Amino acid sequence: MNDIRPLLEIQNLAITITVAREPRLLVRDVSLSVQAGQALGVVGESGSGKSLTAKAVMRLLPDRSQVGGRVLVDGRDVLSLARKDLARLRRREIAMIHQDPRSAMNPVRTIGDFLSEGVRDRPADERRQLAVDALAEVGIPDADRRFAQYPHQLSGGLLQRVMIAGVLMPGPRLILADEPTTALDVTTQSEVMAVLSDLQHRRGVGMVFITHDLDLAAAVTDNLGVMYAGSIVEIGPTASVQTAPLHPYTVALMTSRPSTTNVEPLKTIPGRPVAAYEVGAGCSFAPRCPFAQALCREEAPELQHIGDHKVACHRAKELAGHIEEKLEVLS
Amino acid sequence: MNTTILEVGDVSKVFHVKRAGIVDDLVAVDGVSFSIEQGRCLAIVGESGSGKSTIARMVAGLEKPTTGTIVVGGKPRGQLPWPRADRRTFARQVQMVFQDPNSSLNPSQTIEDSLLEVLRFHHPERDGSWRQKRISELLEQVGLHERHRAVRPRRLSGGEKQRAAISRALAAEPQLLILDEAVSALDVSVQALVLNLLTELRSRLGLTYLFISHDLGVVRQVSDDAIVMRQGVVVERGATQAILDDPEHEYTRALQDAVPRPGWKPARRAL
Amino acid sequence: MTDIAVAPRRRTLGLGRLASVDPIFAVALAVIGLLVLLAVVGPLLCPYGPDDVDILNANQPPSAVHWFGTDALGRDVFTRIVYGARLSLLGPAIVTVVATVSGTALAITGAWRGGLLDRAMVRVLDVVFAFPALLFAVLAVAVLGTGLVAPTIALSIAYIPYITRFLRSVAIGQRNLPYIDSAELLGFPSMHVARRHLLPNIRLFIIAQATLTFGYALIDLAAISFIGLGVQPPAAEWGLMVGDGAAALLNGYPWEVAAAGAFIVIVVVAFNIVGERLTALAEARA
Repeated sequence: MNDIRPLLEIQNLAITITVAREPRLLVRDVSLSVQAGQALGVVGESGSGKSLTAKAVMRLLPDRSQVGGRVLVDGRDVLSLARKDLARLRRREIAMIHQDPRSAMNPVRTIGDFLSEGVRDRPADERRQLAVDALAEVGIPDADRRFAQYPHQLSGGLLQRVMIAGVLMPGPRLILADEPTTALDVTTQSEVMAVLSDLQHRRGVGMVFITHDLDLAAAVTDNLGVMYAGSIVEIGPTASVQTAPLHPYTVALMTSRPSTTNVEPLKTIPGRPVAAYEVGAGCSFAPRCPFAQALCREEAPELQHIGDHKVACHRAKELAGHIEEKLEVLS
Repeated sequence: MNTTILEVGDVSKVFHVKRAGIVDDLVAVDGVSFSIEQGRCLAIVGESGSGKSTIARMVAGLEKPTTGTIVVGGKPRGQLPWPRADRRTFARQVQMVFQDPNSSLNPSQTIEDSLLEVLRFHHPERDGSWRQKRISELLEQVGLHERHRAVRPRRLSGGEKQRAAISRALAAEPQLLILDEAVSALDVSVQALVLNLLTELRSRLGLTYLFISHDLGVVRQVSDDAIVMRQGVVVERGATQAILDDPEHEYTRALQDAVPRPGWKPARRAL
Repeated sequence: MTDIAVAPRRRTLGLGRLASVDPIFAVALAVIGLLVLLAVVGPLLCPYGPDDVDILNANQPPSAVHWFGTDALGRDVFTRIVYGARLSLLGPAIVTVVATVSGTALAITGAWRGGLLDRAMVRVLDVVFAFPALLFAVLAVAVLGTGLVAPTIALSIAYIPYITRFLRSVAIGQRNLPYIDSAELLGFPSMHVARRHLLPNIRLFIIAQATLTFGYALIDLAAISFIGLGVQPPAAEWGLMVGDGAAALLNGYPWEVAAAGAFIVIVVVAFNIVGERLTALAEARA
């Protein structure tokens, strides 16, 4: 077992955002950790709080928010860092890749300008070489031509690769990828994910990969966590979460997805995904869960170990391995 | 007896784009033909720039084809704006459900009013009590409840908004229903519910669908036949299951290969 | 994908809620309310008439008998302010109604029809834009004579391009949304769609524009009266009072100018705040 301190450790994170004078709990007691060189997938739908959790790692939260818990990057709590240290963290140690590269890049600056932003403190010729190398790493060979181009001249997929190159240039140790391919065509998505995963492994950096697509996350991560209504409902090694899911929500996510290889009636669950503040007492998933019992509605389950992963479900042990067939019967 | 509901004959659409003073021709759709029989669902699959949405808009009448013919239920389809005498006829031919649940319903209209509006226009001969019954029927069909009647769209979830949009389209009793990426903006679990609904509605009411999507899994789930488009041209066509199980064109194969599934790994292609 | 956690279910953020969340907005609304009240029932509070001349008590400072003091002719300033409210508000009200209704109609027509009609309309508006509104008003007075009528007509026309330009772009934004396409596909006639679908969804913008227009009109009309081309003495009107009181001001009696000027500023600021907040609310909802 690893006694090495994790690169990223989130402990009991809770985020409340005030909207029109009303506090709204959006992330409820999230704890997770990422080792150096490992990738953690965080999967969830609307309201799950997955994006906010990632933003908290860089303290990129709106002004009207209250944050509880600790976010430790290399042992230092990001939430209580001084401004200067926080700036350094954001510039050098953690890289964030957003869903829409166009909104993260200044449209009137060239690609070359963008790439040199993160390494401003290096001498000019070193900067240029770093940029050429970075572009080559993401599969863009004609660097000189690209340096002179503007964002609007590049396609979405190409721009996202440039984004990846740019944020990795300062040599960060942790990547936060927030739905980086959601806005891309599926063929482009495959290419960009290949580039990202490749880079992550080659450089040995840690990654938190946020997405609504469970199969996509499973393809590029070592560990996988599923979030619902602001908390983690299941988390563990990717292979076992994907092949032997223990939480009814995880199973439902997988069975809701139509496959490209066969047609069956989709086993679905009623209702819609909710946010943390919309949840009453008891398990947040209980109102939609076909297996909910009295205990589920009264008491919120804690994450407990079952096999090699952790699940937050009172009936996990009892239902293990049989959820899908039971869902089929109930649908 | 099967009748052909939609017949698209060699349709093209060229946009004249002015860029820095020069007029450029953008061929969005290039010589596309296909047809749909009564009660069937044809999917148009493609990525961005394939022209699938442009075709949908032309069949609906929101865009005018540059060349080619569009015939619905044996009658040629006209583009908006329609002459007064033809409005009801054309509305009864084709209706459409759009992608974005947040902008496809009038924000200041309650669900009930939006349905009443359609019923009043299309059935002026009927009375108020018939309309109320019909509204209940329409809501029930799409899985909405009485409590959704007097509500404005902003109070509804994404899935509920799409259901409301479907019910309004069905209120006009169209021969053909176009679904333009109608489930793409929904969460996975909600998407499954709406897909099940669409499948059930088609068999229950004998509807005919033209289903536009970039998502192969969704397309397989919901359609009988499919055409695959790339940059304005049809590259493959046939029964959906056949195309996806045994793609002939390399583009179709590339699309299949790129869809994440258990055991899948992203593949890097040289630029 | 709608991330409902970050953009939570919006409840009807009506004016009442906005007022409770935004104190400045609430104050501005209250000022406007008080003003309307003043114009309507104010005269009941005044022991004097607006034309009661009392030369012996000219230029008196504010006191218990004359709350805002007296002017050069001994008239009670407070009373003249109150009576002046009616005239000072009437002109802007007419300008606002005429300009807003015309501006809205033109905006929707242009946005809806598009094409040559729209482009031609924009060009015509550009020409009208070139005329500063005040200059237009002065010209109107030169042609039609002094008083409230000429400047009111002139400003009603001069403000139309501002309103049309703003509302047209809002309408164009709405017009391209799928729910308008839907309405057309359902077979509804153009006029019906423009009236029942487009118009209600830009209503808040229209109200916001009207509010701002009222403020501009008030200032412009007061300015016209100030330079003597608008309302004529002995009528009570705030702009006129500022003009009248100028001589007294130079002699060390500032109360008439101060009172009339303050009322103009406060009222215009209040309308500006309300108009600006409503615009922000409309944009947030869109």
